[in-house]
Parts: sequence; C-alpha cells; structure tokens
Amino acid sequence: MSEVIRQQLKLERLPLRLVLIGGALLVVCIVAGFSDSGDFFRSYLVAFLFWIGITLGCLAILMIQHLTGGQWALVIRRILEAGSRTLPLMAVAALPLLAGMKTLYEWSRPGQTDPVILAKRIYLNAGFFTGRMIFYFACWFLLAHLLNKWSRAEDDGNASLAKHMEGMSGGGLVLYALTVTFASVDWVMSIEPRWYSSIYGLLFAVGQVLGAFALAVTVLIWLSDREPLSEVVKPSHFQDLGSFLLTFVMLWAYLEFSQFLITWGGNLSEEIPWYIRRMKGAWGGVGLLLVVLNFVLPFFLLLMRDIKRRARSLVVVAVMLLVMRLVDMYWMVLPAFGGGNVHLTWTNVALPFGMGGIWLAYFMWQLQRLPILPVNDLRLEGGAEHVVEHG
Amino acid sequence: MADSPADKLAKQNVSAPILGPGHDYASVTDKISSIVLTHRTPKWWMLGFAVSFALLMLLMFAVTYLFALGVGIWGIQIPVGWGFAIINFVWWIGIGHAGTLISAILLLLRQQWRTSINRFAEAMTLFAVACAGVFPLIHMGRPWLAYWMFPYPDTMKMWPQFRSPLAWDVFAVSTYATVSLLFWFVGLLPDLATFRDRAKNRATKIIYGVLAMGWRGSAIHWQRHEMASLLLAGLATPLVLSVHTVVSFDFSFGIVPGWHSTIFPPYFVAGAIYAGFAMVLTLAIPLRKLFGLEDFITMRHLNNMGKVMLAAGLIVGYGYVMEAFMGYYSGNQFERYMTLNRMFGPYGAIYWCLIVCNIITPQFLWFRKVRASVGSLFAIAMVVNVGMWLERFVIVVTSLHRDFLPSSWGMYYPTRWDWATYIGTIGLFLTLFFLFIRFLPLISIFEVRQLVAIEAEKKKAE
Repeated sequence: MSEVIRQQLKLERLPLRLVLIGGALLVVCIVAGFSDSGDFFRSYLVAFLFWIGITLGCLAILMIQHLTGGQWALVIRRILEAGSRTLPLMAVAALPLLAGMKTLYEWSRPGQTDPVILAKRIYLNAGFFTGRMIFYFACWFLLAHLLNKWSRAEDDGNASLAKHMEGMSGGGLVLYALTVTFASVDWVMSIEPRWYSSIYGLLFAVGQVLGAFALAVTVLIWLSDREPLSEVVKPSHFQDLGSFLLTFVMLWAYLEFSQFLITWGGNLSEEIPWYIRRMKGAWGGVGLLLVVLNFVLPFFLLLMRDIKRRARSLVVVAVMLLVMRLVDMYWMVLPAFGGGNVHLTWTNVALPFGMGGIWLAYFMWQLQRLPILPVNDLRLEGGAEHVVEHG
Repeated sequence: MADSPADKLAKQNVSAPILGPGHDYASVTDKISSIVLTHRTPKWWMLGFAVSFALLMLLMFAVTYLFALGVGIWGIQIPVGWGFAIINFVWWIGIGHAGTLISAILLLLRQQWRTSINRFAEAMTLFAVACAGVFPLIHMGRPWLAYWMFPYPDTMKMWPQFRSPLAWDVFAVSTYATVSLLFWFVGLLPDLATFRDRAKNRATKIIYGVLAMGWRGSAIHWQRHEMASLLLAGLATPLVLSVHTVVSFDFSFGIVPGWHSTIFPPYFVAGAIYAGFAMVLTLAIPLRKLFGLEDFITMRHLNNMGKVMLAAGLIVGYGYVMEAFMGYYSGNQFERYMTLNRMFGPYGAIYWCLIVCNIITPQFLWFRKVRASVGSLFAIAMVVNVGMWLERFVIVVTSLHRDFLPSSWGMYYPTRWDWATYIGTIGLFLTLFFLFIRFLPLISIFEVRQLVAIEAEKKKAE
C-alpha cells in the first residue's frame, strides 16, 4: 500500500519536448522583437502576467488548503507545491519587464508634464518600481520556500510540521493579498497612469487563484489514471474541486461586475475611458466573450453534479477557464495601447505559449522530484486506506 | 517544547467538542425546552426586559416627536443630509448578516458547529433588520408616503427611479426580511411542535399548536422540511452578498470622494459579516452563562466565531488600506484631500478610534489563548461593535461635510433626538430578543438531537 503511495511521477521526455517547443517560439519572438519592440514587450507582459498568476495562485491555494484542510486539498497539494516552486523561473522572467519599462509604462519616460502623473512621482518611478518588484519576489520566495521545505520534511516523518504550515498560512495569505495588490497596480494598472480602481488588486488575486485552480484540476485529471493517483482520486474529489472552481468563478464575476457597475454609475472622466477602450469595437466582443465563457457558461456547467464528478467533462471546463484567464490578460493589457480594434499580432499569441512551454517543463521537472501525494499527512492515511479498502 | 499549563488548557478548550459529553435525546429536549416551559421567569430576565422596554419607549417618544415636528429636530443639514439615520441603518443591517451566513452558508457547507447557534443568530437577523428598517422610513420626512417606493399602478403616474440604488435597496431589504423570516419560521416548526406536546396548560398548548401548523413529525413531514430548509438556504445565500452590496452602491454610485470607490461592495459585505459575528458573540456569551448552556455553545463555537471575525476583520482592514492608498494614487486633489481630511480633519479622532477598534484590537484573535478566553472574546466583540458603528459614521459624515466647494462645507453634530432614536432602536432590538428567549427555543432542539445521533455513530465507528 504505502509503496504504491510513495511512487514518484515519471514523465519521460515530455518536459524536454516542451522546452524545445517553448524555447523555439521564444527565440522567434525575440528575433521579431528587434524590429518591433513595442509589440514584443506588450506580448511579454501578457505572457508574464498569465504565468506569474498561475504560480502565485498555486501559492495562495496552498495556503488556503493548509488553513482549511479537507480531502480535496491532498490530491492537488503536490501539484500546487510544484507550481509554487516555479518562482525562481518567474523571477528571471520578470527581468525583461525592467528592460522594457520605458516602452510599457508612460510614467517612466522622462519629460512628463501631465500633472496627474507628476502627482504620483513618489510612487511611480523607476527606482521604487524596481525596489518593490524585488520586495514582492522576496516575500513570495520566503512563503514558497518554507511551505515546500516543511512539506518535504513531513514526508520524512515529521508530522508536527502540519501545525507550522497552518500557522504560517494565515499571515502568509495577508502578505500574499497585499503584495499581489501592489504588484497588480505596478505592473498592470499603471499602464494607464490616469486610471485607478480600489477593487483591482482583489480582482487580480481572485483571477490568479481561479487560474491556478483550473490548472491544478487539469493536471490532476491528466495524471489521475496513473498510480498512485488512480488508487486515491475519487469522483468526490472532482466534485469538491469543481465546487471550488464554481466559487471562484462567482467571486471573480462579482468583483468584475462591481467594478464595472460603480464605474458606469459614476461616469467620471478619469475612470470611464478605461472601459470605453475595452468596450469599443472588437474589444467589446472580447469583453462579452469573457462574460459568457468565464462566467455564464461555467457557472451553469459547474452547478451540475454530473459534470463535476466526471473527469472528462470537468477537464473541459477547467481548460476553458484557463484559456479565459489568458483572454482576460489580453483584454486588460492590450487595449491600453490605443486602437479600438483588436490587432492581435502573432507575437501576442506565440509569446504566452512560448513562455508556457518553459514554465510547464520546469513545473513537470519539479513535480517529478517528490512523491505525487503528501505521504505522511495524517489526513491522507485514513483517506487512502479508506479508498483502498472500500473502493 | 513543553506546554505551560495554561497552554494545555487552551488547547483542550479549542479542540473541545461541539456538544458537551453525556447528552442523549431526552436530556437535550429537557434542557432547552425547560428554559421556556418549566422554569420560572428569572430575575435577571425581568430586569433586562424592563430596561429594554424603557428604551423602546424612548424610541416611541423620539419618533412621535419626530413625526410631529419633522426631521429638523435631528442634526442633519446641508451638506450633511445623511446623518445618524443612515449610519444606524447600515450598522443594523450589517449586524443581521451573520445570522444568514450561519444559517444558510454554513448549512450548505455542512458545518455542524452551526447547529446550536443558528436559531438565535437568525432571530438576531430578524430583529436587526426590523431596527434597520425603521431608519429609512423615519428619515423620509413624510413616512406615511413610504409606499411610494414600491412600483404599483397608480393614478399619479408615480414610478420609482430604477436606476437609483436607493430603489434597489427597497427590494433588497424587503426580500431579505421575507426570506429570513421564512427560513427562521420553517426551522422553528418541529420545535414548536415539541413545545405544544410538552405544554402543561391549555392556553400554551393552543398557542404553540397553532404556530406548529399541524406538525406531526411523520417521515414525509421531515422529508419536506429538509427539502424546504435546503431550498431556503439556497435562496438566502446570495442574499448575504446582495443586500450589503446594494447598500454599498447607495454610497459608491454617488461621485462624492470617499463614497465613489470600487472596493465598496466586498468591503461592505466583509464589514457586515464582521459586525454580525461580533454581535452573535455579544449575545452568545451572556446567554450560555445565564442559562447554563455551556454544553451546547461550547468553546469550539466561540473559537470558530473568533476565527471568522478575524478573517472578516482582515478583509475590512484591507479595504481601509486600499481606500487610503487609492486616495493618494488617484492623483486627484479632491480624493487626496478627502483622505487627509478623514485622518486629520475635524473628525480625525473618530477615524483613529475606528482604526484601533476594527484593525488593532482584533489582531489579538491570532492567539489561541485569546480565542480560548470567554472574557477577552466578549471584550473584543464589544469593541468591534463600537468600531463598526464608527466606521459608518466616518464614511457617511466625513465624505459629505467637505466636498468639492469649500464655500459649501459644514459640520454635522448629532442632537439629543438623534441619540434618543439610536439608543431607542437598541431597546427595540433587546426587547424583541428578550421576548424571543423567553417564549421560543433559543437553540434548535431537533438539530442538536441530530448532532447527538451523529456523535453516537462516531463513537460506534471507533
């Protein structure tokens, strides 16, 4: 029994192939970037935001599950941990943003005359921006490092560490909420330096958690027919995970709708242009697509128990939500750079996938390093045996 | 590391069961129903009821005087046209939310610890909504025309402005009151039947019998009851969010700096849950002591409520941080002035009081020892009750009293009639609550009995 549970994952050559494909896409994008650096950095920002969102979302769910516990958490915990361990990769991936700062962020260019931008100089300047970025990554590293270290030590038999992880997760979530909020202001909101919205950070964090949940569910279902997961994972796990997806789909929609309605109701000249840019022309269609595919459809699908319990249908919803996270990033970032029409360049599309190839390979490499289930977690013992005996 | 004796005690308390040991079906029913049916009215009840009733009379007096003279007896003026009435409305309606959260959301989440606190938390919701409902009505100036707020076909061609959140409020609050009442009453039915069966004299039998609506406890009754409870819980769940979201729109739809902020909906909802759990603790702690209900409302309940309060308080704190930061980050001179004026203007002291009450004090709840101490939990809950009232004061008054035009700035000072009305609604709330604990089962008998069955099964499995 415990031999089976302790098994590690073997993915053979898949990570290598992903690196090659992702690397090739990236190289092509970089070469093309020499002729149009604006297009490159815009695409790069979208790609970075999407993948750092998944990474940090994994970290956040990890802390949520340490606080609340539950069977659903154990089957995806190692997936989340591997996701959070991609942070070093994402820290390196953040560096090009500094190189592209002047291209992406209007406020960082010299010779500003707009009083609104000048009024924010103390916060929005290149030095402080970089300093904050280092600080955010330091906080996230600390959280990810400790949670992973303790979880690994728990595998070796130190059961008391569960209390440590629970104890740190409360404060860790507070730290996560604050750092992600300010990071979202720095990296995304300040693209349009005249606009502001106080719900934005929360919206961003919920989007990250939603994306990470969708990825974790997808990966779990992909691996669920291999040992030892095939011994442990039951339809009830899928149902719980599906309900979590539903919760975050609703929360995302609630926050998004609140921001929209209040901005619409106020109709102020410093706020409403943000929505006008995103509702004009084809971007309006993209917005509508988000409403339908990131809320209406998944909401009704995830209400149905049969869809949640069946891996094959749940994975379709999860992949759809994952794709919509990327579409959301396009919708948040690209309209800021002028034009009512969607000029989706091939770099826009290729870069997120290129970075994704590298990210996924790194993630899979991390995933293979430890047993796919947290073998010594007290809750698993009862759970796994229960499954094997009666299953 | 060795635990100190106090730590050990705290740990035992925190992992305490949700039901005291040694209870069976009969002892549960005896204990809870005896509070109403066999005990003589306790002295403290008489005293508490007398004080509450006196305060209720104060409300009657203040409202009568108000109807005779008009809203000029209050401190409201231009520019502060929304004074105590709106502050108290939001405060009371927020308090109600914990009851709905406990009864609906925790039911759907299958959290068993809700069982012994849901009944009186729901009652608290109803009474708080009643108190909240008083304020918009008497704030109208001509409350006898209150029915104009509803869309009905009339000869005057009067129609509510559907684009105004104030019109949404009418629907949100009246729906909330209706669903909460139904939920509470449906939950009471089996217990009312128990009272009917146990009543000693004929009058009591008839009264509880009528209220029990012919409940016989047959399998089909139970099955329908279960279904109705689940459906009502499903209906009530979105109401936890929607009511306070609409209340937050009352403010954020206006373009006044300090009101027009996109964080308002989640921040108001979290504030409501925060205030509501503080009030549940405020009521639960004396109740368990006075009626000797320590076996039903255990340390586990108090500990869990402390945790929920901490989590909600942190979200509220996040809201304050965002408001202050966005005040700066907006780069807008009016937003910036409003933020500074809130902190250092004429009402600055109230702002810092609210920060101490709502942000600093609840941080003690991180400590297990604090959550295991009944006295400190009660103290923190009281502080949060005050803090949440101050928060609404700060939001309503500091945003209005200095807006875009310095020539139209002004100050707001509540009058004795403002205070009398506010304290009067506390009297209304407590009067209703005292009547409730005297005449109805304050803990759900049938649900605690289910708990007995579950615990017994657990033992068998071991």
